[in-house]
Amino acid sequence: MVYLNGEQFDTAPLINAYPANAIERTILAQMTQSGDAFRFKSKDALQFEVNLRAKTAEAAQALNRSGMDFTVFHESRCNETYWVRKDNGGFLLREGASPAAAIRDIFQNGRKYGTECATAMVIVFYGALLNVYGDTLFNRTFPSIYLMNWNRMDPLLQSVGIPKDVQSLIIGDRGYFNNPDVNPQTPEWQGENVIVLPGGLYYGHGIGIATAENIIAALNGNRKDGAQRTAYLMDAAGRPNYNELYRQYAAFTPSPQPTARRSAALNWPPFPAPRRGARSGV
Amino acid sequence: MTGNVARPAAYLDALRAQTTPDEYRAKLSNLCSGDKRHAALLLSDERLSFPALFAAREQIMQHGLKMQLSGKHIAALGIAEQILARNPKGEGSSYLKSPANKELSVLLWMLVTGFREEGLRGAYDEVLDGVTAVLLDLYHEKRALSYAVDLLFLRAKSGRNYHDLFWAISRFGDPSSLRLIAARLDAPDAETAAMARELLGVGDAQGSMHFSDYERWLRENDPFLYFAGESMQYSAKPAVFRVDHARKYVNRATPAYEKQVLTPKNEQERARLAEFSALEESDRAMLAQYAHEMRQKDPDAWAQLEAKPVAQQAEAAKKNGGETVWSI
Repeated sequence: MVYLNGEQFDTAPLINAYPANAIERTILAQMTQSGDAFRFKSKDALQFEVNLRAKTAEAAQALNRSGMDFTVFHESRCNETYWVRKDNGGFLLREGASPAAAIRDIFQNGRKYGTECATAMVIVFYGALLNVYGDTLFNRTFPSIYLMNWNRMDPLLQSVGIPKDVQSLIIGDRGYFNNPDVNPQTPEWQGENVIVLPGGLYYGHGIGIATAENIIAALNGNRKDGAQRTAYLMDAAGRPNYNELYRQYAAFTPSPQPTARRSAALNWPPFPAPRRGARSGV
Repeated sequence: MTGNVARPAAYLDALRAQTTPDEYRAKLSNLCSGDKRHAALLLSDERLSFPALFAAREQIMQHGLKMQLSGKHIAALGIAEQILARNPKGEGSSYLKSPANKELSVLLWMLVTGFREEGLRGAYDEVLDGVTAVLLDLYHEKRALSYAVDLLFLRAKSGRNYHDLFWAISRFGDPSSLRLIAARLDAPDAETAAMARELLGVGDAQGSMHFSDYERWLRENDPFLYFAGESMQYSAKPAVFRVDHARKYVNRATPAYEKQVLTPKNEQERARLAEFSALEESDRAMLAQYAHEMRQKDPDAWAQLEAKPVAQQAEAAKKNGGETVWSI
């Protein structure tokens, strides 16, 4: 349910303002139908969240195409032009490097990078924010970046790393497939962090874009002998602090928020067919 | 694993301690390309530590010495190879299917003689993560727990990755792992104490929390804890165990740290639990704590309050409850 200044908000006119096949329509409809409360102080703030969620899904697709490898932390790698690989396997923005250029490089030169699934989710959110904020605001907001699963998160993104129970997952959410009976020798299969995409699909780094059934099958294929419990999608979501991110955006951007029609002009490529998950490099 | 009488270190351990890693490898190469039998004897020394054996891996393979080593060392190298190949269903993985005493002693030797190692990193750390996970998850080997926790803090201190290790420790599925971490709450070294607070999800990095506080909390909540098994891959603030607030509220213990559906004893309790579950999470925690304390201190007063609507009980808890309720 969507609330504007404490009042239930009729999203129908806004939904109808988007073209029939726009992802924003689905996002708004999902938020409206959800048992969770989405509270905003302005329509612009609502549109900002819808837009950022759409860009998050887009960034997930782009990262999937980037060629970034799946590796465990011990074997992680990065483009040393922009990042310093730390002993713990995380990537710290190199001193003097532009945060925007460094994040963009991951999407453009993915083959120079390898990391695990949680860090990939963080990269997706940075990618989406770079798209929405633009270089100047992005560099100002995130002057220092440390990519290391949920461990070194910027305060603005911290809540993505602390999932809360939700009634339903919305496009752009970070979800998690848990694998309670995983083989102890393959901790990388203990679960799969995912970004919720349209059409019942999920992006999980290493598995790719797949349905819930395919992700569960991939996880179940890596359980210990005699496992009784199946992997499952948790009823929990990690969401950035959209309202605070909007506040930063609105304070920086003198012009009004992108209208429904403007943000619907996204070039949204069709999703590739889901494939059975097999992590590359594992 | 280690006797009471200190034994002299194995020759190769002593050599390793006196040389740089490159020098050690060079000397090993010389040894292995010379008298192979002698090299195999040195590498089979029962006193040898796992790090010294692991550091010699390349030379052992190059000179075809593996099968001339002792059974324990052959098994250890096999386990290491199998972990690094990340193929738990592949060759040499039978110990994962049916835990056996033979492998248990090898795995314990790898961890006990290997947890203090600082020189080897990367692949070595990955092997010890795998060994620890197998010992604690599949073998449920309590003797490994304290070494694993020591290793966790050593890793964190040296800036290396400890996330899979923390996960491995959590797989033991028993709050004794929490107690071992909590013992570091009183560490004189502020960094260690802060790390313990972070891992346990108590206080903040600057705040203070003593082992005795945690121990008291653990004792009080132990009957209501269930294994949540959250990892650092899942959350920035993973909870290994959580308190089942509904069970604490009605004073019904959690069976074997497992989250199980709470079946109400009667219609009255069913209604109360329904009201209880409708409360905000923080209010549920507070009321459960308050009910627990009241039951101990003044059972008659609690019996009276328990008969009132849950919302009223929650108000009383807010007004009178003073105990800190931790998020887990």
